[in-house]
Amino acid sequence: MSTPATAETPQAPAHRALISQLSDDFSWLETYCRQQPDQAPHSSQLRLAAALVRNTVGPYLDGQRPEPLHTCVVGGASAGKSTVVNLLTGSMTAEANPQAGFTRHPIAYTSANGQIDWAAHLSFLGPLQRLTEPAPSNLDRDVYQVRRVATDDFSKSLLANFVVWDCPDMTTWAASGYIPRLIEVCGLSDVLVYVASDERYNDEVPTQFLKLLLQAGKPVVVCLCKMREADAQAFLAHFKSAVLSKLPGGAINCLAIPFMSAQELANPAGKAAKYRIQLLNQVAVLGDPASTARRRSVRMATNFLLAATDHLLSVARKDLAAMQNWQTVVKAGQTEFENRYRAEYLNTEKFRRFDEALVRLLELLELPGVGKIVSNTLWVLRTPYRLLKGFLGKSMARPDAPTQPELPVLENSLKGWLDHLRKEAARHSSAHPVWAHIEKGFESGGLEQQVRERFQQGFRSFQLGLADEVERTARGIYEELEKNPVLLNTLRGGKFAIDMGAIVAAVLTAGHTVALDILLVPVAAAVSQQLVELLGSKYVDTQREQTRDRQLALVQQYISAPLADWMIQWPATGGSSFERLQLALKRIPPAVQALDQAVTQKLGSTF
Amino acid sequence: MPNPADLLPGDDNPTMTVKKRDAITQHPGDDRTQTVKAEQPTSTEPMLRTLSPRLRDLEKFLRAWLRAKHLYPLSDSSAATLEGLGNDLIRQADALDTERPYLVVMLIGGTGVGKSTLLNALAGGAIAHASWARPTTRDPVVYYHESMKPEKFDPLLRNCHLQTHDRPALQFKVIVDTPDLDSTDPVNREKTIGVVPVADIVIWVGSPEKYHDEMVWKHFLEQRKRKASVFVINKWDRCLHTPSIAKRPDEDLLGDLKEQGFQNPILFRTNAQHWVDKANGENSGAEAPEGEQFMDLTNWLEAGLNRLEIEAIKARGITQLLEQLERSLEDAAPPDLAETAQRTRSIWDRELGAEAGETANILLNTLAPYQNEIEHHFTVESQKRFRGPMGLYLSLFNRVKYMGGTLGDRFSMVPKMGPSTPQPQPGWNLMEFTRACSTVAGERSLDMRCKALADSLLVKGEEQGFPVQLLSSRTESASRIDWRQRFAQALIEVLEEVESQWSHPRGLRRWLHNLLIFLGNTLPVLTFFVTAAWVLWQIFMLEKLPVLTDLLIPLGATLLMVIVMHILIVLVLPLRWIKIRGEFQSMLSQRLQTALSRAYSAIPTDLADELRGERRKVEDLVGKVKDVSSWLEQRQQAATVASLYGS
Repeated sequence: MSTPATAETPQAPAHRALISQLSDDFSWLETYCRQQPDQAPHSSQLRLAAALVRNTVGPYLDGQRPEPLHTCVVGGASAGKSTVVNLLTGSMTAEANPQAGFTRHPIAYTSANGQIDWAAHLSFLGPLQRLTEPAPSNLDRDVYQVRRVATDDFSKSLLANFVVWDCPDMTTWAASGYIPRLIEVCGLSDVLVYVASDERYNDEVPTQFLKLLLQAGKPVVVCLCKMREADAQAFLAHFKSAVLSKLPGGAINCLAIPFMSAQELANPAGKAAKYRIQLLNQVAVLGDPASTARRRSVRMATNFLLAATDHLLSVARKDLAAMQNWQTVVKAGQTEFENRYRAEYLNTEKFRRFDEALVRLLELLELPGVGKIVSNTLWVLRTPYRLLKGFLGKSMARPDAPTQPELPVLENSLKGWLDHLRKEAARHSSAHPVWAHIEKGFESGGLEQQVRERFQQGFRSFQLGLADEVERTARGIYEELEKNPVLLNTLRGGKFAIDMGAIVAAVLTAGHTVALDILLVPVAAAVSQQLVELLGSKYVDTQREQTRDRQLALVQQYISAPLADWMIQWPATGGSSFERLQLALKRIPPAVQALDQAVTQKLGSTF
Repeated sequence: MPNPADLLPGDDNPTMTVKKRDAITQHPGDDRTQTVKAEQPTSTEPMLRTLSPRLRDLEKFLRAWLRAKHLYPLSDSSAATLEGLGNDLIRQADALDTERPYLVVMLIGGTGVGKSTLLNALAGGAIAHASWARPTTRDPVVYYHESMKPEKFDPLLRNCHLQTHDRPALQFKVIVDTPDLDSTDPVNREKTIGVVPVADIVIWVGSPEKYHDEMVWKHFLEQRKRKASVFVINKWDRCLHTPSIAKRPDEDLLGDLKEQGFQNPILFRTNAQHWVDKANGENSGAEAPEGEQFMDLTNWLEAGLNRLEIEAIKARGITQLLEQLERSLEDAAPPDLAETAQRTRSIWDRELGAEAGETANILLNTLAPYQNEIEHHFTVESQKRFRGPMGLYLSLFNRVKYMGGTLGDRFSMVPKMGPSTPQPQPGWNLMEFTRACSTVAGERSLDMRCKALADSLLVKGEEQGFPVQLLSSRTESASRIDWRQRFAQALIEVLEEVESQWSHPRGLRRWLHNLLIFLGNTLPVLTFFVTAAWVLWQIFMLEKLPVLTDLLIPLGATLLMVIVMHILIVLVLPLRWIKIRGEFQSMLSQRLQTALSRAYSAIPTDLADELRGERRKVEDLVGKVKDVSSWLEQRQQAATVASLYGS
């Protein structure tokens, strides 16, 4: 047999990181599924995915030798697994137990002496620990044990290349506790021996299990046991038509091992010999040569991962959908919050500072220096206008509606937001764990408190950001003009031109009547002034309106958006499962792709 | 008199019972059994039959309750459970409504464990199809005495494969062989689960391979409280070699059953194939394997289950059914929320009071820009009754004083701030004015507050333990009432009330008011006449030369008097916005609280009352179930069949 592995350079540690991360992610998802009753069927597939990654692909990328191959004997309780193991190893080492579901952890049989290097790989069999002392098969813990068997010449040829694993069953009611161990070893196997008895061969649970392994691309040898010898052929035919025809995968080798007494089984050269030869041959064929068999295992494992990823992650997607609902609700609450702030505070706030800015702006437009004389003259001319305007303004002005102060408005809106979220959480809590989690967050008081603290922080930085926002904008109205003499002087000139134009027009209209002049010139001066003031106040009002928008944007920036983001992420923070879920969802697909690339590259390079 | 329980296995440890049953086998015509049979019918026979109408009544009540509308949601699963229990009630009622009820013994287990073989062995011939091909049995096989009429069977059994026999010992016992529970064919599972409700006794058949299988065990766990359970480990010949530390299957199973509360379960170890072969004359010489108990099983079925046992099992089956019904009903009963509702209500009232205050404040803030108009209006109203020069003076004074307000409306040259402000009508149109105010307040904040109020109330209710699902629809629909309209209404009422208080004050103010009106109406006129008289006196009597100024004296004095009176009015009956506002505020918030309370605060208590009504209905139903149970309890002798049921 070829030993290509020894000729290879060890892979970069990057692969190790990839392998351990991927198998961790799968394992985490598996545990997550197991906690949810309706997701339990997924957990088996996830465990198989994790097991394939760490037991088949990982060692291969690390450059482990293909020998020995692993063959796992699986089947329902008391179907005859131990009998088959004994046939494979050629000894009576596996206890054939009448108690259904006696074996509770995987047991490896090997003929090799000395160091067992195949078990030395870092993540070998994941959480299963190797037992250092021999222990009975019904030890119900996450362990595996290795038993060495003395072999006859006949089975030596097989055991030299194979480790034979005796696995627990999957049918008894206690099995839910140890099926993960069984799957872990199946992930390791290069050849599977599926054992079914005359009672069990068409049972739902073992058949589903076989189906899963066939989907994962494991080569399988089927052993049908315990039937009457006369029925053996009819049995095989019925199994093929009733069971195998409904399963994926191509032709599968089946052989029948009729019921034999303990004495017959104990004598390897006796009646059992003919079934042994068949069995050994079929297993050996699937594992010859070892390097090809191992490469096939790796290829199939990656193919399974590629094909099944989407399906495997579907569990997690349901939860993400619930998260998205939460996000929508939070966002809707944010909009409501901002609307309330705008309607209750911003729209009623007058920003009086802008009225002062208007006065200052108009002052600025008066001519300086020599022009002052003209300005003052006009000022005198406009005295009646000013008096009239002052009187009218005073008598027509309405008192302001008292505005609500800013902080209470914000606090009220926040309370409304939180109440809404809490109500939604309580209403949906039975629909999905995400909502239940949020409701718990509210009930224990932590969530609301945290949100309020964050709001206080946000409000402080908002105030800092706001501190001179209004002042700056208001001052900007005239300061910009001050800094820009060209524009300022143009405007001044414009105003002067309007004033002068109006007066000249008045004088012209009046003709040479002095009385009319006296009446019309102040009127013209007043009209021009009123015009300029109107323009100025329109400009200032526009600025005021923009300031409202800017202030809302600031509230968004410092308060509502960070709060919304934080709340959206809340179910996924603090090491809670949703954060891990998102991480797993994000990492698994690219990791599977990367794994596939690495495997393809390595498989290609060794040809 | 011997206790009939002695006839049943399982009172002591399993090995002991084997011996007892052996004794029965040896003396089939034992006079103990004879006496039992002869003595019993008198008391039990009418009992079961009279139970039948009671069960029917119970079913009728249950259905009526299920069909009725529920405020407290009945979960799909509990509705399904209760429906199923209703079906079981009717089934039991039908089964009991006969001369002698028959006992249905059902063989259930995984495929290939030998259920059909067992039935064949019992029948002594091939009545059920048994073969090596899995799964074998596709339809249930019903094995019954030829004297029974299949059309009297439960409908679930009528469609099965029917097989008659003529063995008197099995006359009132129907043995049913079922398809499997664990093969790849789900139809078989459905069929088996479909006929299980008919069974009185389930014989859980296992094999050395399958006695531990989950697919069957979970059904056992589901049925164990409802049905009498008996266990068989078939293919006993395959369990005899026990080389290692492992337990023998029967010991293992007995251990598991003990954990499930079966202290002395009836377990038969059989090798049915042996007896079938024997009947066919195939292995005439071979002995049954050691410890094989098929004959015990046959004896138990034939002699152990006599009339007394049948009735006791029937009665026990009904007791179990009633117990389950009671539990399911109690689970489905709405919670008692009366106390919670009271707490919620008082908390809501506090919340609504605060909200009313806030709302009143917001509404009044929208009135503030029109304080001059309101002041004007009130002043005019309260001064309506001044006549003569005083009235003339006051109306002129008010017109000048409040000119700005009316001017402002006519020439709205002053740029207006804010998005929309109510447009007060020229003149005083209260309806329009308040509606406009309410609309502005609504747009500005009250609409959003109404929504937020509902949320906040729901959260407060949730904190008190009132489920949001129950509260939300009513609370939210209350929040969607046209609150703007109600606010406007409250404003109008309050404005009118305040107005009437000012124009028709009560108590001391009334006297003051009337006094001032009297003085205002009389004093200036009096002054005019007095001064006029004085001037005339001066001119005519003292013959003082009349000067123009003299003529003005009466007018001046009158004016002075009027001004003095006006100052007096302003001092004694001041009318300022600030003062009215306070009055407004308290009246408005009171009125709003009434409106809010009317809409909201009865919701939790009403709901709790309705739930209590529903709860009482469930309690009535439970009471009826209990009546039947206790009626049954007084008449049954449960001890005879206790070992068939776990604890």
